[in-house]
Amino acid sequence: MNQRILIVEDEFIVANDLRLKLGRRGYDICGIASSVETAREMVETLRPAWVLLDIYLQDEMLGIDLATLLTEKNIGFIYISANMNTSVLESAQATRPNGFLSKPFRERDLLALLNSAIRNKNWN
Amino acid sequence: MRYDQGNLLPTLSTTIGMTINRSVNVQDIQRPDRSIHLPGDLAMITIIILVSLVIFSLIKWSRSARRELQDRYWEIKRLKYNLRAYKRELDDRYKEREWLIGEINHRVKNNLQIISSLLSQQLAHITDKHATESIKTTQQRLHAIALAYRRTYRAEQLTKVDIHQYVNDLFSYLRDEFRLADSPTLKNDTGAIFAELEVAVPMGLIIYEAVSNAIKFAFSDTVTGEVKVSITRLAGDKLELVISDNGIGFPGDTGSSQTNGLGTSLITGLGRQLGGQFEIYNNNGAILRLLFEFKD
Repeated sequence: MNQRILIVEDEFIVANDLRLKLGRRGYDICGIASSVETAREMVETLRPAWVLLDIYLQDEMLGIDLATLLTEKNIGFIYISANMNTSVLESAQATRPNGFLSKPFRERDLLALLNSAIRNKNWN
Repeated sequence: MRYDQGNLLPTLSTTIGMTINRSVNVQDIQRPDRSIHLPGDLAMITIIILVSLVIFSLIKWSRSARRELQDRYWEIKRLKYNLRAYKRELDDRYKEREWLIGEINHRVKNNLQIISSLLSQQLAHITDKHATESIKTTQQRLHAIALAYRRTYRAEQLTKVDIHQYVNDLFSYLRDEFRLADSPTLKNDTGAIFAELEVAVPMGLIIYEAVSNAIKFAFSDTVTGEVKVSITRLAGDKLELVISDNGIGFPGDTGSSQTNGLGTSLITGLGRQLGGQFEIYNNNGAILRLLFEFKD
């Protein structure tokens, strides 16, 4: 079960933390993108199976903007965000993500969510 | 005699009548009957003039009244418009304020995430067991703070924390962290209390420390333990926070310093920060009671 994962997160410390946590558990982190534009390119070139997606990115683009492309390519995605009750959250939910992780997250929550998301997606 | 023809203004018509009488023509003289009516006609003219005057002034008055009414109407319309504009501005300000507070909370949680991530990465480079534990405990405290921020997200209560919910969240977090199965059970006896973040966060940390202390030290494996958190509003704007368990009680009299060092000093220090007084004693288990001033 070698799942290639792309991390889209503009906060280096958080992205690096995700990379280390998942890497230790045997996940293959194929890249870290800090903007939607870079993420688009990386999705095309690296062909990840999963994307961990921060909703708010620095370039004013929302992670949500990437969702259509990911759904088209049948790539699973999980939102990671600190904001839990805004209109943005509603539009995020409308893109039907495979999971939602709120910041600050714990390693245990991250792993449990990713595992169950992968399991559910494989069933469907 | 010719004056009492029923005219209403005898004096005036007499004067006018006499003046006109002098210039009456021959026909009138030949027929004196008609000259008798002349002052009456004059009186009629006068009346008509007067009535017209009255009507004219009435019209004039009603016109000015109407103008005044119209002015008032426009004034009211203008005020209404202004009022609507003020309301719009207020609504905008309120929305902006809500957005700003949401944004601040968002950033606080993001920063907590960054700190937590930093600590996680530090952990990877530490082999010492004691140091590892310390960092993990710090991460847990950080998470206890974050839980308060998660509970502030309600439309009308953006800066206030639903304490009952917060205690529930702390409990499920503790259950998860300590992998609690049946014992001890955690009981939340908190009413509908909403507190500002600067009160909720120290309260949450005190609860977290005290309950995790109880989980770690208060029970032997055989006892079915219970840890209870009850928060009650008392008369005179006071809030009472009681954390009690049915375990072995505090060691010594009230000497809690034997448990973990920072945890205990956090509890007493944060209690002082809330302006409260602590009572720590044993009564079929450990009881920690904090009383402090609290206003909605």
